[in-house]
Amino acid sequence: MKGMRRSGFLILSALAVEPLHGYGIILAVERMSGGEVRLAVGTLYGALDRLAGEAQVEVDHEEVVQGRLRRYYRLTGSGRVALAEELTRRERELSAVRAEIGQVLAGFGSPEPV
Amino acid sequence: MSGWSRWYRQLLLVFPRGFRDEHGDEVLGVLVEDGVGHHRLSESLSLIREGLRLRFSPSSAHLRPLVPAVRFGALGWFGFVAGFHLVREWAFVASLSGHTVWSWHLVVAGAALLVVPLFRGVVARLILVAGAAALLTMEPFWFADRVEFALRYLLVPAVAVLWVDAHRLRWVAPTAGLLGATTS
Repeated sequence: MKGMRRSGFLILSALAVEPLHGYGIILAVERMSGGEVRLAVGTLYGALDRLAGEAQVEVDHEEVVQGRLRRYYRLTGSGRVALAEELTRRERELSAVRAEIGQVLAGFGSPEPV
Repeated sequence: MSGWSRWYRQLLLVFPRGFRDEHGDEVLGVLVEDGVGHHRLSESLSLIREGLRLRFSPSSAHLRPLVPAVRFGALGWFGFVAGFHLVREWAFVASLSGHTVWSWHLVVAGAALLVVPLFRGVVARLILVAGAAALLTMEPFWFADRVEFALRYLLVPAVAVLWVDAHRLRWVAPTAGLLGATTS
Protein backbone atom coordinates (compact mmCIF):
# COMPACT_ATOMS: atom_id res chain seq x y z
CA MET A 1 0.00 0.00 0.00
CA LYS A 2 1.32 3.43 -0.89
CA GLY A 3 2.04 5.58 2.15
CA MET A 4 0.39 8.88 2.91
CA ARG A 5 2.26 12.13 2.26
CA ARG A 6 3.90 13.58 5.34
CA SER A 7 1.93 16.83 5.17
CA GLY A 8 -1.35 14.92 4.85
CA PHE A 9 -0.43 12.61 7.71
CA LEU A 10 0.43 15.51 10.02
CA ILE A 11 -2.69 17.49 9.09
CA LEU A 12 -4.94 14.49 9.76
CA SER A 13 -3.14 13.92 13.06
CA ALA A 14 -3.65 17.56 14.06
CA LEU A 15 -7.36 17.39 13.22
CA ALA A 16 -7.78 14.10 15.11
CA VAL A 17 -7.51 16.02 18.36
CA GLU A 18 -10.04 18.77 17.66
CA PRO A 19 -11.40 20.87 14.77
CA LEU A 20 -8.91 23.55 13.80
CA HIS A 21 -8.75 26.48 11.39
CA GLY A 22 -5.91 27.05 8.95
CA TYR A 23 -3.49 28.80 11.25
CA GLY A 24 -4.36 26.41 14.09
CA ILE A 25 -3.41 23.50 11.83
CA ILE A 26 -0.07 25.14 10.97
CA LEU A 27 0.73 25.52 14.69
CA ALA A 28 -0.40 21.98 15.60
CA VAL A 29 1.62 20.44 12.76
CA GLU A 30 4.68 22.38 13.84
CA ARG A 31 4.20 21.18 17.42
CA MET A 32 3.57 17.53 16.45
CA SER A 33 6.61 17.44 14.19
CA GLY A 34 8.83 18.76 16.95
CA GLY A 35 9.28 22.05 15.12
CA GLU A 36 10.52 20.30 12.00
CA VAL A 37 7.58 21.04 9.70
CA ARG A 38 6.25 24.55 9.23
CA LEU A 39 3.57 24.30 6.54
CA ALA A 40 3.45 27.11 4.00
CA VAL A 41 -0.09 28.42 3.62
CA GLY A 42 -0.26 27.33 -0.04
CA THR A 43 0.91 23.84 0.88
CA LEU A 44 -1.68 23.66 3.67
CA TYR A 45 -4.60 24.57 1.45
CA GLY A 46 -3.41 22.34 -1.37
CA ALA A 47 -3.32 19.45 1.10
CA LEU A 48 -6.69 20.37 2.61
CA ASP A 49 -8.23 20.47 -0.86
CA ARG A 50 -6.80 17.04 -1.63
CA LEU A 51 -7.95 15.59 1.70
CA ALA A 52 -11.42 17.09 1.27
CA GLY A 53 -11.55 15.58 -2.24
CA GLU A 54 -10.82 12.21 -0.65
CA ALA A 55 -13.56 12.87 1.93
CA GLN A 56 -11.06 12.63 4.78
CA VAL A 57 -11.67 16.15 6.13
CA GLU A 58 -14.70 18.44 6.04
CA VAL A 59 -15.69 21.88 7.22
CA ASP A 60 -16.80 21.91 10.86
CA HIS A 61 -17.89 25.52 11.27
CA GLU A 62 -16.95 29.09 10.38
CA GLU A 63 -16.45 32.21 12.44
CA VAL A 64 -15.33 35.76 11.80
CA VAL A 65 -12.58 37.09 14.05
CA GLN A 66 -11.43 40.72 13.66
CA GLY A 67 -13.13 40.85 10.28
CA ARG A 68 -11.32 37.76 9.01
CA LEU A 69 -13.00 34.51 8.07
CA ARG A 70 -11.89 31.44 10.00
CA ARG A 71 -13.04 28.10 8.65
CA TYR A 72 -12.60 25.15 10.98
CA TYR A 73 -11.95 21.65 9.62
CA ARG A 74 -12.52 18.25 11.22
CA LEU A 75 -11.76 14.65 10.40
CA THR A 76 -14.46 12.55 8.77
CA GLY A 77 -15.04 8.89 9.57
CA SER A 78 -12.97 7.80 6.58
CA GLY A 79 -10.29 10.30 7.61
CA ARG A 80 -10.05 8.56 10.99
CA VAL A 81 -9.81 5.18 9.29
CA ALA A 82 -7.12 6.45 6.89
CA LEU A 83 -5.14 7.95 9.78
CA ALA A 84 -5.38 4.76 11.84
CA GLU A 85 -4.25 2.68 8.85
CA GLU A 86 -1.34 5.03 8.19
CA LEU A 87 -0.27 4.88 11.85
CA THR A 88 -0.39 1.07 11.75
CA ARG A 89 1.58 1.02 8.50
CA ARG A 90 4.25 3.35 9.87
CA GLU A 91 4.53 1.43 13.14
CA ARG A 92 4.79 -1.89 11.29
CA GLU A 93 7.47 -0.48 8.99
CA LEU A 94 9.41 0.99 11.91
CA SER A 95 9.23 -2.28 13.86
CA ALA A 96 10.45 -4.25 10.87
CA VAL A 97 13.34 -1.85 10.29
CA ARG A 98 14.28 -1.90 13.98
CA ALA A 99 14.21 -5.69 13.99
CA GLU A 100 16.51 -5.76 10.95
CA ILE A 101 19.04 -3.12 11.89
CA GLY A 102 18.54 -2.63 15.63
CA GLN A 103 21.69 -4.55 16.50
CA VAL A 104 23.73 -2.57 14.00
CA LEU A 105 22.37 0.74 15.28
CA ALA A 106 23.09 -0.27 18.86
CA GLY A 107 26.74 -0.52 17.85
CA PHE A 108 26.80 3.07 16.57
CA GLY A 109 27.86 5.59 19.16
CA SER A 110 29.25 3.05 21.58
CA PRO A 111 32.87 3.82 22.39
CA GLU A 112 35.58 1.81 20.72
CA PRO A 113 37.13 -0.72 23.09
CA VAL A 114 40.63 0.28 24.13
CA MET B 1 -5.50 47.07 0.86
CA SER B 2 -1.80 46.87 1.75
CA GLY B 3 0.85 46.11 -0.83
CA TRP B 4 1.61 42.61 0.39
CA SER B 5 -2.10 41.81 0.63
CA ARG B 6 -2.57 42.89 -2.97
CA TRP B 7 0.44 40.79 -3.96
CA TYR B 8 -0.99 37.63 -2.39
CA ARG B 9 -4.45 38.35 -3.78
CA GLN B 10 -2.87 38.54 -7.24
CA LEU B 11 -1.07 35.24 -6.61
CA LEU B 12 -4.44 33.67 -5.84
CA LEU B 13 -5.32 34.27 -9.50
CA VAL B 14 -3.18 31.20 -10.21
CA PHE B 15 -5.83 29.10 -8.44
CA PRO B 16 -9.05 28.02 -10.16
CA ARG B 17 -11.92 30.46 -9.70
CA GLY B 18 -13.91 28.01 -7.60
CA PHE B 19 -11.06 27.70 -5.12
CA ARG B 20 -10.61 31.49 -4.95
CA ASP B 21 -14.28 32.07 -4.31
CA GLU B 22 -14.36 29.38 -1.63
CA HIS B 23 -11.01 29.90 0.11
CA GLY B 24 -9.51 33.21 -1.07
CA ASP B 25 -10.38 35.31 1.99
CA GLU B 26 -9.62 32.40 4.27
CA VAL B 27 -6.10 32.00 2.82
CA LEU B 28 -5.40 35.73 3.17
CA GLY B 29 -6.66 35.57 6.77
CA VAL B 30 -4.24 32.75 7.59
CA LEU B 31 -1.38 34.67 5.97
CA VAL B 32 -2.20 37.60 8.27
CA GLU B 33 -2.37 35.34 11.34
CA ASP B 34 0.86 33.67 10.32
CA GLY B 35 2.43 37.11 10.46
CA VAL B 36 3.61 37.03 6.86
CA GLY B 37 2.89 40.72 6.31
CA HIS B 38 5.41 41.01 3.50
CA HIS B 39 6.43 39.31 0.25
CA ARG B 40 7.79 36.07 1.62
CA LEU B 41 9.36 34.08 -1.21
CA SER B 42 8.56 30.62 0.18
CA GLU B 43 4.88 31.54 0.67
CA SER B 44 4.65 32.99 -2.82
CA LEU B 45 6.23 29.91 -4.37
CA SER B 46 3.98 27.53 -2.44
CA LEU B 47 0.88 29.45 -3.54
CA ILE B 48 2.00 29.38 -7.18
CA ARG B 49 2.85 25.67 -7.01
CA GLU B 50 -0.40 24.64 -5.35
CA GLY B 51 -2.45 26.93 -7.60
CA LEU B 52 -0.94 25.36 -10.72
CA ARG B 53 -1.40 21.89 -9.27
CA LEU B 54 -5.07 22.51 -8.56
CA ARG B 55 -5.56 24.01 -11.99
CA PHE B 56 -3.82 21.32 -14.01
CA SER B 57 -3.30 18.29 -11.85
CA PRO B 58 -5.31 15.20 -12.65
CA SER B 59 -5.56 14.69 -8.90
CA SER B 60 -8.33 17.30 -8.81
CA ALA B 61 -11.33 15.55 -7.31
CA HIS B 62 -13.56 15.70 -10.37
CA LEU B 63 -10.88 14.29 -12.67
CA ARG B 64 -9.46 11.65 -10.34
CA PRO B 65 -11.66 8.73 -11.47
CA LEU B 66 -10.51 9.29 -15.08
CA VAL B 67 -6.79 9.32 -14.38
CA PRO B 68 -5.93 5.60 -14.68
CA ALA B 69 -7.92 5.25 -17.91
CA VAL B 70 -6.37 8.40 -19.41
CA ARG B 71 -2.84 7.32 -18.47
CA PHE B 72 -3.36 3.86 -19.89
CA GLY B 73 -4.99 5.18 -23.05
CA ALA B 74 -2.41 7.92 -23.62
CA LEU B 75 0.55 5.59 -23.19
CA GLY B 76 -1.08 2.91 -25.29
CA TRP B 77 -1.90 5.34 -28.08
CA PHE B 78 1.60 6.81 -27.98
CA GLY B 79 3.11 3.34 -28.24
CA PHE B 80 0.79 2.24 -31.04
CA VAL B 81 1.44 5.35 -33.14
CA ALA B 82 5.19 5.10 -32.55
CA GLY B 83 5.34 1.41 -33.46
CA PHE B 84 3.13 1.84 -36.51
CA HIS B 85 5.03 4.79 -37.96
CA LEU B 86 8.48 3.52 -37.09
CA VAL B 87 7.95 0.48 -39.31
CA ARG B 88 6.33 2.57 -42.06
CA GLU B 89 9.15 5.15 -42.08
CA TRP B 90 11.82 2.53 -41.96
CA ALA B 91 10.31 0.68 -44.93
CA PHE B 92 9.78 3.91 -46.86
CA VAL B 93 13.27 5.31 -46.35
CA ALA B 94 14.80 1.92 -47.06
CA SER B 95 12.86 1.68 -50.34
CA LEU B 96 14.17 5.10 -51.39
CA SER B 97 17.81 4.44 -50.64
CA GLY B 98 17.85 0.74 -51.41
CA HIS B 99 19.34 -0.22 -48.07
CA THR B 100 18.51 -0.13 -44.38
CA VAL B 101 18.54 3.35 -42.93
CA TRP B 102 18.69 4.38 -39.30
CA SER B 103 17.44 7.92 -39.06
CA TRP B 104 17.63 9.62 -35.68
CA HIS B 105 13.83 9.63 -35.58
CA LEU B 106 13.79 5.87 -35.76
CA VAL B 107 16.55 5.47 -33.20
CA VAL B 108 15.12 7.94 -30.65
CA ALA B 109 11.47 6.94 -30.93
CA GLY B 110 12.35 3.24 -30.99
CA ALA B 111 14.72 3.58 -28.06
CA ALA B 112 12.08 5.53 -26.12
CA LEU B 113 9.65 2.65 -26.54
CA LEU B 114 12.24 0.09 -25.50
CA VAL B 115 13.84 1.81 -22.51
CA VAL B 116 10.93 3.69 -20.92
CA PRO B 117 9.97 0.64 -18.83
CA LEU B 118 13.37 0.79 -17.15
CA PHE B 119 12.86 4.27 -15.75
CA ARG B 120 10.35 6.15 -13.70
CA GLY B 121 9.46 9.71 -12.73
CA VAL B 122 11.27 12.58 -14.41
CA VAL B 123 13.62 10.37 -16.44
CA ALA B 124 10.72 8.38 -17.91
CA ARG B 125 8.94 11.60 -18.81
CA LEU B 126 12.08 12.96 -20.53
CA ILE B 127 12.38 9.76 -22.54
CA LEU B 128 8.74 10.07 -23.61
CA VAL B 129 9.32 13.72 -24.55
CA ALA B 130 12.24 12.65 -26.75
CA GLY B 131 10.13 9.91 -28.32
CA ALA B 132 7.25 12.30 -28.95
CA ALA B 133 9.66 14.87 -30.45
CA ALA B 134 11.12 12.23 -32.76
CA LEU B 135 7.65 11.22 -33.90
CA LEU B 136 6.66 14.81 -34.53
CA THR B 137 9.75 15.68 -36.55
CA MET B 138 9.52 12.68 -38.85
CA GLU B 139 9.16 13.70 -42.47
CA PRO B 140 5.43 14.08 -43.10
CA PHE B 141 5.30 11.25 -45.61
CA TRP B 142 2.00 10.12 -44.31
CA PHE B 143 0.38 13.40 -43.38
CA ALA B 144 -1.11 15.89 -45.78
CA ASP B 145 -1.57 18.37 -43.00
CA ARG B 146 0.98 19.01 -40.24
CA VAL B 147 -1.67 20.57 -38.00
CA GLU B 148 -3.65 17.37 -38.14
CA PHE B 149 -0.47 15.46 -37.42
CA ALA B 150 0.28 17.60 -34.37
CA LEU B 151 -3.25 17.39 -33.04
CA ARG B 152 -3.55 13.67 -33.52
CA TYR B 153 -0.12 12.52 -32.50
CA LEU B 154 1.53 15.15 -30.34
CA LEU B 155 -1.26 15.95 -27.92
CA VAL B 156 -1.74 12.38 -26.83
CA PRO B 157 1.94 11.76 -26.05
CA ALA B 158 1.98 15.15 -24.31
CA VAL B 159 -0.80 13.95 -22.03
CA ALA B 160 1.16 10.78 -21.41
CA VAL B 161 4.25 12.79 -20.60
CA LEU B 162 2.40 15.04 -18.18
CA TRP B 163 0.39 12.40 -16.41
CA VAL B 164 2.10 9.09 -16.78
CA ASP B 165 3.25 7.06 -13.84
CA ALA B 166 5.62 5.17 -16.07
CA HIS B 167 6.67 2.73 -13.39
CA ARG B 168 3.28 1.19 -12.80
CA LEU B 169 2.24 1.27 -16.44
CA ARG B 170 5.69 0.56 -17.79
CA TRP B 171 4.75 -2.16 -20.24
CA VAL B 172 1.81 -0.37 -21.85
CA ALA B 173 3.76 1.72 -24.41
CA PRO B 174 6.14 -1.06 -25.59
CA THR B 175 3.30 -3.58 -25.85
CA ALA B 176 1.17 -1.15 -27.83
CA GLY B 177 4.27 -0.32 -29.92
CA LEU B 178 4.67 -3.99 -30.82
CA LEU B 179 1.00 -4.15 -31.74
CA GLY B 180 1.36 -1.00 -33.89
CA ALA B 181 4.44 -2.42 -35.62
CA THR B 182 2.75 -5.69 -36.47
CA THR B 183 -0.34 -3.98 -37.88
CA SER B 184 1.71 -1.51 -39.93
